[in-house]
Amino acid sequence: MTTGELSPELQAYVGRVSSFVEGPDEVNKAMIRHWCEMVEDANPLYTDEAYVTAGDCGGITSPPTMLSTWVYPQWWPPVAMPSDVGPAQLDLPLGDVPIPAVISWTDEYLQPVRPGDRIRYNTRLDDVSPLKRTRLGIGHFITTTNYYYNQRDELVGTTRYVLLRYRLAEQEPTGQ
Amino acid sequence: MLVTNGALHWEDVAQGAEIPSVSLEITRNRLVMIVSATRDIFPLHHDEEFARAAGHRAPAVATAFLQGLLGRCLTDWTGPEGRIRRLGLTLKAATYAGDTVSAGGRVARKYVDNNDHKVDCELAVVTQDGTTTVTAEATVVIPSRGWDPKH
Repeated sequence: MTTGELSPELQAYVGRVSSFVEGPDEVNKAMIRHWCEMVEDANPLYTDEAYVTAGDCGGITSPPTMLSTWVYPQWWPPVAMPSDVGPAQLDLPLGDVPIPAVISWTDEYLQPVRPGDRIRYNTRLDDVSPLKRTRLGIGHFITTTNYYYNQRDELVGTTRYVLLRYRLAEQEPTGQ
Repeated sequence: MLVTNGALHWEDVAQGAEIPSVSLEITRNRLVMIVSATRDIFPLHHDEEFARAAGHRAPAVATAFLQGLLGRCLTDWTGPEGRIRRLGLTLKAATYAGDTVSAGGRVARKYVDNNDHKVDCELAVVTQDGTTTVTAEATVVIPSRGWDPKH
């Protein structure tokens, strides 16, 4: 249910492209191993030096699904993130919609990412919905695309997010 | 590229074929591993009180974990020669700490695109009570015998 049209004020933000943010660390084998432990992924491309050497694979490859992890901000000391980077688009004047929920998340993997790479990204705001009533609550759907580049300025992948930023309706949701 | 003995080839893939499931229990220990490996310390993913205040029955795991699980499901099936080109998740319901999740699916379509031998896959993540928390679509490139350096 749509509760109105998107305001011209919000419409004016659609299409903006953020500045770049670089990940805090270069792509590294330790974080790759932690990822593989998390899901018990034994793919030798990710962790087996002998395999990738014997196979002439160009070295260890990061699991492609780690793409967004390489640019996740450090926990400490805190760094100021530009508010127009990433799926939440926190500077949008959306009113009281404090809870984020990922609705969809689509990655495209264009180039291998390997230990030693430096990944940076920027975000395009593709769309903002009018205020809608959903099964979660009342909020706006925000569609953005992250563009990830390596140190050679190659586009290594993209993520298209649809995020709902919402507040609870008067009735409690049904547990989702 | 090294082609492992017994690796899946594009010619061997049939439309509708099953992509075997992989299952994991989201124990407390795994929840800690998820937070650590994904770097995502948003409290929804680990804090019971925060999660309940947001209308959830337990901490809801980060989507990146489900991506990683689906990625593993795909390359467990293809073998390490498979390359994931696209993975799109639609979140149907939260996946909670304490759940046991299974990720699997089927082959939707196979085709050749600009010399890449591609397979489109339809996947889902299902919990122990049968709830589908994620549906997903993926495109993988796998070796063809015609392009296999060992043949």
